[in-house]
Amino acid sequence: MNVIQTSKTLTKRYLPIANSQLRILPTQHRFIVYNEKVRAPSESKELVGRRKQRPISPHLTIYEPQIPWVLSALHRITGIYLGLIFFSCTILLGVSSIFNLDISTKKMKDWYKRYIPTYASVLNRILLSYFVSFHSFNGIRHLVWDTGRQLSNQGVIRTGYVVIGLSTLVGTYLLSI
Amino acid sequence: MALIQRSLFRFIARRGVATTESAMATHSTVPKMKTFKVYRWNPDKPAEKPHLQTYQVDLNECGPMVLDALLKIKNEQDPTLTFRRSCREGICGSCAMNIEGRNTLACLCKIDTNVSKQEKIYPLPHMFIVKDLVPDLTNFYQQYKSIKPYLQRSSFPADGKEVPQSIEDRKKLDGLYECILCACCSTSCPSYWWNQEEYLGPAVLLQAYRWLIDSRDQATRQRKDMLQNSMSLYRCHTIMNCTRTCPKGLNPGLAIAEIKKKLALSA
Repeated sequence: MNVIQTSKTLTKRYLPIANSQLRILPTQHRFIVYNEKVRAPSESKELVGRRKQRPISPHLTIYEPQIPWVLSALHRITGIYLGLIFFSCTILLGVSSIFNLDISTKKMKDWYKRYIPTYASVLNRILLSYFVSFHSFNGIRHLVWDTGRQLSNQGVIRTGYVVIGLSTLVGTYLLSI
Repeated sequence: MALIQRSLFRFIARRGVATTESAMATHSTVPKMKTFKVYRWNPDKPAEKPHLQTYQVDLNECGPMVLDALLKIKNEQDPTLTFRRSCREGICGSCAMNIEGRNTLACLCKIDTNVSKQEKIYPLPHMFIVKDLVPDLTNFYQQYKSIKPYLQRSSFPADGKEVPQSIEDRKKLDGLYECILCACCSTSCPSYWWNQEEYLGPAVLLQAYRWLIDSRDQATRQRKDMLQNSMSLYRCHTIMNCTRTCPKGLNPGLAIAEIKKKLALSA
């Protein structure tokens, strides 16, 4: 516990602090979360006052839709959708096994069939098949990037179209079965 | 009477146009009026919301770049229009702004000669605005300072001369040292939009990498430690807007991926 510093003590400091100063062992690096802010000590007071008046320039609404960030946003949206369904089901099963609520996959299926209207379940089926395939292929794209490959303008566009093509094919296949 | 007056006026006016035209000789007669819509906000009237102001520029009378159009507007139509500019050749990075939805340097961005399309010009996205197209870059420069962008060594050659570097090691700095810190890439990054207080952003991380792989630098350990937290580096989710938008054709996205690899492979 002694290695974890509160964010309060850290934000007092002006620059990010070398971990060696915090006596953190190398193996513990990646488990530490702290939010040090880069601040200018002298200017900050005046700047804070000025910034209260200053508007923030427009961003998402004016930026040109491009393959890099549109696919990235799609990856996150599909991830949230799939995650919500996956975790709500698994957590429900886990909770039920702890508290003996007697919830089974069969019961969940029956509940889904009884309470979810047809149009919603059809929509859900379409979304699920395309989202699963897109999120998986784009995930592989990210793993390729993590090795340092295909990280150029051409690489990003090329792999982007490959992912769109593959996920359309496989998504249509998943929908048809 | 009024008719004679009007026709006389027209005659004189036409003569007048003819003389100026013959004086300018080479210019074509049909004006190519291009509409520019420019983001305006005046700090003297902070209550007034930012808005887009429309300007018309004759492309026959204007240089080819967006910066030429902005200067023409400022010189001839509206001296209150405020923007940063200096070298007009893509080496100072002052005129970085968002043109047609893309972050780029106004001096390197050609005006779209299709006059039926309006050209929209905004300041760099998600920044505090000082005035019109001028963003507040204090935080950006402070972040650059925080990575200690200079050679750090504990020992120097005994002869007191330069620190030698092999040709191969010097080659590693190509594509990194050319960065002019115009902030186009950082302000195109959605991660930087949402977390610019803590996340260093592509431009600064490119420079962090530039000093990490410099064979002459001896502070590699400390430089890595500084990035080894959840915010400074790892807010990069490989969106790659940075590389897409860099007006100098550099690849900050790749540099960040290389830093991540370095941190992952060495404890």
